[in-house]
Amino acid sequence: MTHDVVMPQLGLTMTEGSVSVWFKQPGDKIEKGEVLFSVETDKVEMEVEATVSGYVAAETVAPKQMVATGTVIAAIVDREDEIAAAAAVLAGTLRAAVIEPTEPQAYPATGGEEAKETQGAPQFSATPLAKRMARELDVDLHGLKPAKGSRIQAEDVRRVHAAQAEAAAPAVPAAAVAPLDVQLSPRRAALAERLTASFNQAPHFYLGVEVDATQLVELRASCVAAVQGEEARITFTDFFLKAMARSLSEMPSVNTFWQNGKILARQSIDIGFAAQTDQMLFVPVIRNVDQLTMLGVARERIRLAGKARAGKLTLAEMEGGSATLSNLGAFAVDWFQAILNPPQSIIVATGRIAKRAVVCGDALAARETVTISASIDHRVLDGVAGARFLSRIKELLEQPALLIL
Amino acid sequence: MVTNGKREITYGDAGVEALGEEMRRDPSIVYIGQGIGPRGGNFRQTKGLWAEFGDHRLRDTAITELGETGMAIGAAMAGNRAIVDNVFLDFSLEAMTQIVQQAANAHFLSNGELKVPLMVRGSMGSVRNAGVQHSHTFYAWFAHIPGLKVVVPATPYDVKGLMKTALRDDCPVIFIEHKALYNIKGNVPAEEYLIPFGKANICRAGTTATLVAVGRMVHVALDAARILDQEGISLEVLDPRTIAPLDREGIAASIRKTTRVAVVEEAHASCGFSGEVFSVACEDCFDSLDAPPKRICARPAPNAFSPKLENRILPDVERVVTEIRDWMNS
Repeated sequence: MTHDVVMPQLGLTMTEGSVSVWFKQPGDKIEKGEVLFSVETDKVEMEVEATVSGYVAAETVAPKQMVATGTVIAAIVDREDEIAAAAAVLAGTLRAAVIEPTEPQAYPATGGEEAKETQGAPQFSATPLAKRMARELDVDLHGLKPAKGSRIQAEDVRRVHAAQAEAAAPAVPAAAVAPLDVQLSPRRAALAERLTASFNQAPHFYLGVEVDATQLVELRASCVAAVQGEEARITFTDFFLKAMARSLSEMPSVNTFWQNGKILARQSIDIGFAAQTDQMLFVPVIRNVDQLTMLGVARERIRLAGKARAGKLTLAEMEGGSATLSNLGAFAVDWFQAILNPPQSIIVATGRIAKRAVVCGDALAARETVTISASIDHRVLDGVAGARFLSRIKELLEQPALLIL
Repeated sequence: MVTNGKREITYGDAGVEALGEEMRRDPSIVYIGQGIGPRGGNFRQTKGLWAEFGDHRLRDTAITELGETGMAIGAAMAGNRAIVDNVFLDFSLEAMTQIVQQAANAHFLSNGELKVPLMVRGSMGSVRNAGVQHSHTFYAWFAHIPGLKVVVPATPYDVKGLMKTALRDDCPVIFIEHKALYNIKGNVPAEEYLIPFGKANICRAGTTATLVAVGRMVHVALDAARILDQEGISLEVLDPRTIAPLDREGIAASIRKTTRVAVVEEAHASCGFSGEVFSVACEDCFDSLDAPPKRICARPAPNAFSPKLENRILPDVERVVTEIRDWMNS
């Protein structure tokens, strides 16, 4: 008997994915529960186990080939003598399911929606204006995803054309730079798309505040000493996360975000933090930060960062979130401004804590300070709301005892 | 009344001024209708004219749309320039056979021997919950008939300029005012002017989408445009003013600029004016469309007497804002 293996859907929003590694080859024996392959989506890499025991009959997609979720990508048969027959069936039917974004195909220039149907691949129709512009600007619409809605519009064509023009314009003489062909992973491509969309669609504004961190540095040292026996080491990040959570919990109107022309309010206070691994930037989300102790935040942060490094974060661990913290305090960065992590409406960016010259009364003094910036989606929040949110964070961090009370 | 050097009068008075000026200029004009003599019209739309011109020029009739309209058509064929006032456009239906069969066709049936310089006047639309039989907006019925011209003015300025044009046209003209607009005020210059038929008015310039509306809906569209402007949606509000002849080129030019078109109508969507505007979009500037055209019309139900129901049936500013916003995000 033949058991189909399909490209799994690992989250509500996942529509396609690629196999990154096949751990078994056709003909191999496999036990139920053994890892058959790993999947790379735009957010995570996950290992997928066999749900039955038997023999791997065929694997129809090569690593890195995109297929729609639900597509049959392999088969497991019960008996060794069934392999050949099952492989023949699979080979004939499934080649069409592979999504080939780079294959050039002529898009019908005028009239009709008789665009070539690619099985399994999402194919979008284009507005008359988009078709005309594509014709005039020599833009290939095939495989293009609209930025909004279900139809390729003029702005999509403009975007692609601008990207083509940029790519075509040699900023540096071509001979001077030998280009390195870096493999673009689906996650890096998705990150690039999301950040571009965020920067283009969400009108950002930025607020900055300098925080006197003298008490914060002292309190954090005491906390580290006090929980020395614990596995979790409390960092400034934990204080920043708690301060953001407190400020958000006191101002429910700030815990809101923009979606499809509406402002939606979140029911809980979940905060993401930027975690950089060798290959990628991840933003795992800590749930209910307002209800966790400082040690609880530290434990959760360490657990999620560990999973990020191991490539084991699940989609659920990265979805939602009221706001994001990006802390580059470990580097010689004094301050910076971050790009919103959609659909969130706030991202807080913190630089390093260091002694700096500060005016105290009428004299200069050397004090520990840190500069914190907030990037805010102006569709949702105005300057005053953002200022209140950030001012409260400053207050809490300057008297950090408030955070552990 | 004169403010800021501009003379402001009501929509109703603009019509009275046009009638007075044209009746003085052209002694062949006669005005036939219900309560338009000494009473000065149900909506004060002939206020003061009977005192100046008398029974010979303004003739009161019984409530008899078929008869009064036939009489006016006969007068027009016989060499007068005739106005017939059905008062409520709803009851022009009683006279439809005269308007469609006789007035629209006589010139062609007579091989050009006859002309029918006729203005059929009637008021349309909903005002203060008057019930379905006094609230219709079926201007599109007339525009379906070759030989009829259909005017649907939205402002005092347009009422005066278009009515004077109607009273110099040798074809039958259906002149449809909106009841709810009779008391609105607007700039009407003291000096004489005429507005040609078939020339749309860009009431508000915009870049994101074209919103086409006539009559009272022009004002709803303008209010919606002001609100959406604050969200970065720049609407161009276009009032064709006459739907027959229709300024197809003006509408197409606007769509070419904005790449989108929506129609806001107090009338129903089915087989109506909105579809006619869509035909401009599809036939004349298809390659400029960046979204399917959108229509926001009365919901397909007889206009209710209940204020709550009527307000749900007819488009209002809130509904236009919401639907346009969703449409822009699609």
